[in-house]
This record gives sequence, C-alpha cells and structure tokens, in this order.
Amino acid sequence: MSESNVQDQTVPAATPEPGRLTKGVSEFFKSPAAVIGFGTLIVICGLAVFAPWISPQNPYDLMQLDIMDGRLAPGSESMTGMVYYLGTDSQGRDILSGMLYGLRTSLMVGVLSAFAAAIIGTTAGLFAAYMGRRTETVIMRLVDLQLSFPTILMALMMLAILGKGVINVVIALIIAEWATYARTVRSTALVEREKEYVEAARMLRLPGWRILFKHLLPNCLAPVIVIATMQVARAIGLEATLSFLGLGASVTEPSLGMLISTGYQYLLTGLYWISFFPGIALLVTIVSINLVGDRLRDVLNPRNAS
Amino acid sequence: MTAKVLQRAAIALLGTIAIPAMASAQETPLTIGMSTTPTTLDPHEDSSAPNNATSRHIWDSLINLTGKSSNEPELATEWKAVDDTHWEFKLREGVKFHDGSDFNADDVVASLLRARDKPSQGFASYTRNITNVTAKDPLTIVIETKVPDPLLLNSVSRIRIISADCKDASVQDFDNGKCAIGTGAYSFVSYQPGSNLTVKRNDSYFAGPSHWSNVTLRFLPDDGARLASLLSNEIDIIETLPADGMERVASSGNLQIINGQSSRFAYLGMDVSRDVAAFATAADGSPLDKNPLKDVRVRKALLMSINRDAIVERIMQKNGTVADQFVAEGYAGHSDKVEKVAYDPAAAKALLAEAGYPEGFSLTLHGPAGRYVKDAEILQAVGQMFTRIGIKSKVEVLPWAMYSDKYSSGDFSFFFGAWGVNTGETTNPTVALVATRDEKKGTGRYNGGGISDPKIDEVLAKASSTLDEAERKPLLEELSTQTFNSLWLLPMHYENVVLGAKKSVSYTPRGDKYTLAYEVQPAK
Repeated sequence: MSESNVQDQTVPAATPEPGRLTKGVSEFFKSPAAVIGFGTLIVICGLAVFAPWISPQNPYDLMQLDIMDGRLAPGSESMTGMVYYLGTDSQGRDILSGMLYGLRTSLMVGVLSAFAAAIIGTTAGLFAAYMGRRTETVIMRLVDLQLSFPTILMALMMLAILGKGVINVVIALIIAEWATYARTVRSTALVEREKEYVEAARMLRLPGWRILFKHLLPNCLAPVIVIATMQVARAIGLEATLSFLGLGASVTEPSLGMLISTGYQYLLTGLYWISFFPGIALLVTIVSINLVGDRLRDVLNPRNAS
Repeated sequence: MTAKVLQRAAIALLGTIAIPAMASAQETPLTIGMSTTPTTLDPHEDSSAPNNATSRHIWDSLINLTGKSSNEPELATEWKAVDDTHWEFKLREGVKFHDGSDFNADDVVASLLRARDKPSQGFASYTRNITNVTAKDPLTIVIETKVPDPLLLNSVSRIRIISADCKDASVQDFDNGKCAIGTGAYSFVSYQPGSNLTVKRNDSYFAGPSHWSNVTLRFLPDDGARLASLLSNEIDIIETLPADGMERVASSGNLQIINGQSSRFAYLGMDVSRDVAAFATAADGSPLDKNPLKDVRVRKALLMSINRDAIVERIMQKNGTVADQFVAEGYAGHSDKVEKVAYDPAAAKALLAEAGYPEGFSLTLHGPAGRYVKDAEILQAVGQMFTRIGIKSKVEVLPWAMYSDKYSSGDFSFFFGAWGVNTGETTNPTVALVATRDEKKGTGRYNGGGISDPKIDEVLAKASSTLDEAERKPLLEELSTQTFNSLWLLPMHYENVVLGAKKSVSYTPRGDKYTLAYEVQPAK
C-alpha cells in the first residue's frame, strides 16, 4: 500500500494530464485482491456465457432428466454412463450443469436490473438536481419513501403484484433499487451544478438537455459506476433470496438461489451437495464482484486521487 | 474477588436453569410441528385440513369424528332420524364455554347456520343439505334436510360449535382471540398467523382434562425446518416427517417414527370443459384450436406416461401407495370395475398420435409447494414423464395460499390436487371434486377442471339420498367406476401418514392426518 501511495503522488506531477482512463486502469490493477476478483469474475462470466456448450447436460430440458438418477452423490455415474461430478438433485438434475445455467440466470438478473436501475435512477437524480424546486421535491420525497422500505420487502411486494418469473424479478429489483442511484447522483450533481463550467455553459445559452447529459452527467458517473457494480452483487443476492422463498425462477429452470432452496430440505439428511455447491458458486460470484467494486471505489474516489 | 463473582454468577445461572426445570415437573407442555398453515382461526371460514385440525383444539362439534371416520357422542349425547329428512340431537348438559357461559341449543343453531351461510362457502359440501336448524328446547335441536342425507352425521361432525354471541363475528375477531372461545379441551392464549397458536388446558373439559397443560401448534411447512426442530428437541411431535429424515430419526436414541394409513387421495385434475385450455398450446407455442384434454384418449395417454410406482418409490420414498380410484380396497365405494392403467410410455405415444397429436403439445402443470407430501417434486417428475411422450411441460409451483383459490376456481389447465376422503366413502370426494359446479347445491366446489358428467351427477344424487346401506353400496361403487373409467381425474396415490416424535409421547395417526393434542398420550 505504501508503495502505491508514493506513486500516487509522483504520477500526476510527472505527466500533468495522462488519459484518465488509462491511469484508472493501471491504478485498478495495483491491488492484488482486485486482480483476483476481476480474474475470477471473467472466468465466471465466461462459464455463464458458454454454459450451453460446456455443461454436461441441459438442466432445463426435462427430456434429459431422469428421476431414477435422483439424489446421486458427487462422482456417481448415470445409467447412460454420464458422470455427475457434483451429484444430482432429487429430479436427477446434474448439479454442475444446474449451477452453470443458474449462473446465467443470476448474472443476467443482476446485470440487467443493476444497469436499468442505474439509468432510471441517474436520470431522475440529474433532473432533480438540475431542475430544483418542485421537481426536486417530488423526486426526492419519492426516493425517501422508497428507501424507507427494506429492499427485500419492496421486492416481495412487487412480486406479489407482478407474479412469479425471472423478468418480474428483474422489474421488482429495478423498482427496489433505482432510488439509491437517484440520491447519490443528485448530491453529486448539486455540487457540480455550482461549478464554473456549468455556469459557462449556461452563459453560452446551451440547451438544458445538453448541459445535463454532456456536462453534468460525465462528472457524476464515477459514483454511479461504483454503486452499479455493488448493486449487481446485491441484485444477485436478492434474486437468490427471492428464489429461495419460492417467488423467483421457475422450479424447472432453477437459478442458483432455487438450487440452494431445493437442496435446503436435504441438508440435514447428508445430501449436502444439492445446496453446498450452488452456495459456493453464489458466494464466489458475489465476493469477486464486491472486490472489483471496492477497488473501483478507491480508484474513482476524487478524494483518494489527489 | 473474581472467584466470588464467578461463583455467584454460576449460582445465578443454575437458578435460572433449575426453576423452569422444576416448573415443568408439574406443567406438561406439548409442542406440535404442523406441516401446514391454517389460513384463519375462524372455524367456519374454510374447510381445509389445517384449519379444521387447528380449530379442533379450541372447539368441539356435536359429534366426534374418530381417527377411523366413525361417529362418537360429543356435544350431542344421542341422536336419531325422526323421519327421512329430520334428525333430532340431544345435547350434553352442564357444558360451559371457556368464558364461563353455558352451552345450549342456541349456540348449535347459530353455529350450523353460520357455517352454512358464510360468504366463503367453505363448508358448502357439508351444509348444502341443511335447510333448517331449530331448537326444540334448550337441550334438543332438530336439523331438517332438503333430501334424505345419509352423510348428515359425518357433516355435522365437521362443524365446530361456537358461542351464539359470536355468530356475526368477523374472521379477525377469531384471529385476535376475541371470539376464539369454545367448549374444547384447550382455551385460546395467543395466535400469530402463519407462525403458531398457543392454547392452555381447559380444566373443566367435559371429557376430562387433557394431560398437556400448554399446547403450542407451530406451523412449519418447510420440511427442513420442521425436521430440524424435531432433531433439536424443540418440538415433541411433527407431522409429515420428511422422507429424507426418516433415517436420521430412526437412528436417534430418543426419537421415533409413527406410521399409519391416510385417506388422502392425490390426483391430477385438468380443464375438461373449455374449448381452448389456457395453458395448453401446440408444440411450437402457437395456440391450439381445441382443448386436447377434453379427449379421453389424451387423458389416458397422460396417465399411461406416468410411472406412478417410480414416484411412490423414488420421490415419496415409499410414503405412499399407488392409487387407481378415490378409496383403497375395503372402503365403501371401491369398485372392481375401474380399469387399471399401467405405465407404458410407448403405448401412450401411440395413443396420443391416434388422438391427433403425433407431435404432442405444450402444457403448463400447476401445483402447490409444501402442501402435500413432496408435491413440487412429484409434479416435476410428472413433467419429465410427459416430456418423454412428446408433451412439452412447464412446471409452476405456487405457495399454498396463492394456489388454493386458483386451482379450485379453474384457473389452471392441469393441476395437482389431493383430497382427504374423511368419510371413508366415495360421495364425499365426488361432491367436491367431480360433481357439476353448482353453488346453490354446494356441489363441485373444488371441481377445478369444470367436469360435468350428467351420469355421475345422477348417481351421486341417488347415492346421497339413500339411507339404506345395502342399496347405497352399488351406487358408491358406480361413482368410482364412472369417474375413473372416464379419467375425469388421473389417480396418483394415497399418502401415508408419517409422524416423527420424541419417544416420550405416543400417538395413533388418524386417517384424516390431523394431529390432535388431546389424542397425544405420554408414553408409558
């Protein structure tokens, strides 16, 4: 750490304005934890994207499942000679394949909901800060109202209204999460709004939308990126919770949370693998995203940069 | 100094442990882990097994229905049929409600009519024949039925007698304890919906006070949580011991498995009335112009594709018996004429092609999660087996509270259900599941497939008004024959009753699967 501090001080002096991006990237990779997290994340994303090609079985295809192969221990062989490296659940679903496919669902839900919420929340926050007055009051009170509910409760209520299903989980998570972005972006934008470059832009009579999106937005993005990364991890965790409660993914197309939930009832009977391996996968995914997010926060925080 | 403090702390600690231990020497609490959750304490709102089992602790009925479906005197001491449509009941003298007020004929009249007239119509299948209830004198009532009703005594045994003061009370008044006042073996202490009910011994119970001073019913629909509570000694007896936990319980020194036969019949129902079924589409997802489930050949193919032996063996882990009709052999109404359909996927595929679906079709199967033994897993297995004969299946399971209304009102195209045949004969399941839906007559309330078979309705009407046992028997059998040769319902299995308990208690399982604290005995 001390080494990187020294460099922090020397680099800006040597090169007055190096590309902010390249500087950020090299800064990011100075933390070994972040490198490990980033590497793991790449591997996980790769596994999820290529799941249909690398998994031994399509766990969503009921044709390929056989209850006669149910609850087999890791390493058992099926009647057709396929090896279940991580065992099977009660339906004869290969846990390894189930995890790979489950990762897809989990990541998709996480990324989609975090980024959609980021877009909605950021826009709302920018508007609130720039417009001020009544618009600001309305938006920010809405945000306060929203943040006063626990996220999981909010998501549960939304699912009760919308019904089950992965897409509905995404919608519920967007509704539950957008407020965090709005509040952060507004506070950043409030500071930026008073700066000279915005004043100058106003003097030039640039249209409002241009000031908002070309001038204010880029300067508010750093915290949004950090929150979005963390929210992906949070959303994955929430999706797992909702599926665990039986409100998320369909039973025949399990996500990681669903797999953990179906295995949970067998935990006491020694059939640990149904919950254990998906649980580990969930843990590793969330930890690696959080490592990346933590490092991004350090790098993008203006207070640390100077 | 420190030693002294420690010593004092140790004494204080010992004290806190010793006091409850001494108290429990006189007090004998019992905790039951129920596998299902009642929707309310109001005993007339909904006639589902968890509600009726829960209400049984606080309230009595005129007649006690024993675990083997026979009738015993309870609040009524004797009864007789005056003529074909009038029954007279003599009430027990000197019975008091938990609040100290006297029990008399007014309470009975108010309760029976309340159960009959409740907007929810939860007891319609039991009350549909009751036209009037009158108090002849404070200890005699007369029930008038529309038609001769051979099942009246059984019906009456299901209706709990509340105080007449509470006849207009809302569901909330029962749930918050205001009207949770009965004559039963236990009086209300507290109720947390979805979590637990606590009651305490009624020392002046007419049939003698219970052995248990305090009874807690904990609602633990989650198999893992229920098993964990038993293994950690928190609970004395749990319902529906998860099949996967049997080994753990058997090998433990202080726990036992209690096994018995149940009358609960599990079936698959489907939309056989609409011209287009909402959840059935062509194999490629395009809408079908007709409802394949209306074709008896398709229904037979579906049943042929299900390996019921494998389901009972592998998924239920032998906690069930394969069924072909409402009741097992030996019960009234078991028919030898029901054609047995064996597992044969190849023939099923051929039959499906013959019916005009060589490519199969797509179907969504709906079912509850945690209501019946391994319900969600059984339905997934059925989905697997359907897929093998070309019926692309999607399985949706819902929490019971969301599912129960929807399946009975016919929102699904294909669904999993089960019925406790508590009367031990076939008119009871036929009235609820197969008879044409008719709210006035109270028939077909759980007929989610919209089945309407005039022949069955006719036989049912006859069977329901015949009081003579010898005449009734062939009619009861005819109901099974008609229902299962037309495959209006696909028969699946009978559930076994398996409880897990501490060795310190003993219990004889009931056919209706209720776990009643009053019938739990301390082990000798």
